[in-house]
Amino acid sequence: MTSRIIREKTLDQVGLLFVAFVMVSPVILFFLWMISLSLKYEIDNGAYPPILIPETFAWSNYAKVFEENNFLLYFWNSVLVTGSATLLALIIGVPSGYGIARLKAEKSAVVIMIARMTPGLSFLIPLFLLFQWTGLIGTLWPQIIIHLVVTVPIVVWIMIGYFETTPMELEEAASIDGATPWQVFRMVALPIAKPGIVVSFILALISRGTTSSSA
Amino acid sequence: MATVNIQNIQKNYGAVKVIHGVDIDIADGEFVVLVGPSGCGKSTLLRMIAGLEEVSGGEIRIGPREVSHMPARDRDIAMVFQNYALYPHMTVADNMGFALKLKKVDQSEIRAKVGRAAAILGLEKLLDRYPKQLSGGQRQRVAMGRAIVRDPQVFLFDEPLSNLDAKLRVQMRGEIKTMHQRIGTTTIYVTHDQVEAMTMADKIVVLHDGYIEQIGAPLELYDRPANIFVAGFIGSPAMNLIDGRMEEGAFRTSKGLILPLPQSLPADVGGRELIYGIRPEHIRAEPQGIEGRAILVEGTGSEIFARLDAKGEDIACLFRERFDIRFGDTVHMVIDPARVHLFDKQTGRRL
Ligand SMILES: Nc1ncnc2c1ncn2[C@@H]1O[C@H](COP(=O)(O)OP(=O)(O)O)[C@@H](O)[C@H]1O
Ligand SMILES: [Mg+2]
Repeated sequence: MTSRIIREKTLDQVGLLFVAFVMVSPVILFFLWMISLSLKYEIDNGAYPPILIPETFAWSNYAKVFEENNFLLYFWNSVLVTGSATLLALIIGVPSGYGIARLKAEKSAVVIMIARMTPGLSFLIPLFLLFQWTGLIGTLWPQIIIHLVVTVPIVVWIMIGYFETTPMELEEAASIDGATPWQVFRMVALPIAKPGIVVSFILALISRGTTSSSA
Repeated sequence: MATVNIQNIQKNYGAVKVIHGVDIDIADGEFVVLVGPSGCGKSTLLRMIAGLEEVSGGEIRIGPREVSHMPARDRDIAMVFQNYALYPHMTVADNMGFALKLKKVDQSEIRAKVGRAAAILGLEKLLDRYPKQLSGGQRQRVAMGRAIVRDPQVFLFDEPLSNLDAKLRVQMRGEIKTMHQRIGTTTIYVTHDQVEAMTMADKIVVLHDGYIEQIGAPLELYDRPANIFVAGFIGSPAMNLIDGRMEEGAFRTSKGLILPLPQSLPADVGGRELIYGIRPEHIRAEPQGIEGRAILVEGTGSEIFARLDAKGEDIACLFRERFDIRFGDTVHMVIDPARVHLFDKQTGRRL
């Protein structure tokens, strides 16, 4: 009896793994193909039947990238921009989401959403002028701020949803226990909303790509 | 420990008035139960005392302090919620010590106080668990522990037992009462269950639609309900309330049933529309009594509950002696006239 249950469980897990594999396999194949391409000489690229693992690796491709572009710097800049945009978005977005959820001020959340839906280009010129006046052009700040236009609304919206599902009673219990509103937020609401913070962190991180055009 | 004085407290939600000027005086160390049907405003009243709900008018005092507009965190009260409201990310020990931690009490002292409360409630072995690893009854105890550790001036309970099964409810009822007798903190306890109110309270406040119907000790409410609402609400099974009039020295219903009246009556009962109240447990089955036909019979072993149809009036009876009645049988019932309550139908008041 028990052994059958266990067997069914393992079967379930194998099945789940298989489904997961099928779902991600295109991504993996695409990624492998990219690596393969980067390691092939140009003649092999269009070869038929296609070659996945070339006979001689073209390591020189990589050397060329690093020689011709300041690749490391760009990479580092990109990490800096994404990282700080995401962190700033969390620092701004999580408390705002909390405030909106607790004040039942969904209207203000709609304003944020409208800001999100407005075409990015319409921000670009005013922002550009702003950056010019403030002398930020040439630094990474303009890029970070433009990313925030996307990431803050994402974080705010996810966090509103999370904070709204946290029972009000928990925060009331904390305030009866003697917590100030700030302590209620930091010691009760925030720890409970951890999964939401992780989700919005990841989504803010990957949302970056969509605005890089405007950068 | 402290007294609590509530004076003319009111609450409106917009244009809707849910508490209409309520006065309650609670003595130091008293166990007061606010009871009433669902939606009558018990929680709202309790939450105003706790400071979780803004008062729309009136005054609340805890001891000498006027607290009506003081934030909850400064009122020095502890509250046990219906859903326990344990912090899910903290262990039992941290839940219980949270208030002391906020007060910046020493770690060692917190541990000692939590340990003492845990011992009272039998929670010693659970201190490192998280709330989700506890049963309903254990969560209930932790919530109580969190309140005890605080050593507040007032305990507030909002229907703390309604999520437990019947057996556990009876057990926890006893434990809360024992705890109160042991530490003696002034307690305000909200419930819709009149049995809980009767068994636990020093003083019961019956609320109905935002008004107080009666305040009194459990037996006062049972013996002398001030109005029809309290008469019907307190006591289980509920009191029989029968419409009729005083005519020719007897109580008559419109269907012609004649019921016995107490010896001494107020002078002015004649002619008025009355409500005749008699509790099911104050009716005996004896051969010389009024005839009725059993339309429902429920035996629990210790007693028999029956509904009898007497000339079209449906009368509930609770018989302590064991005898054989079945559906459709004729039963003769005797009403103890000293136990009869009379109410004015118009005003609802006791006569
Ligand atoms: N936030 C609110 N807004 C409007 N009406 C409310 C609110 N909270 C409670 N009420 C109303 O106040 C009345 C009393 O509610 P409550 O105190 O919760 O009743 P009880 O605890 O006795 O069941 C109910 O009629 C309820 O609908
Ligand atoms: Mg309630």
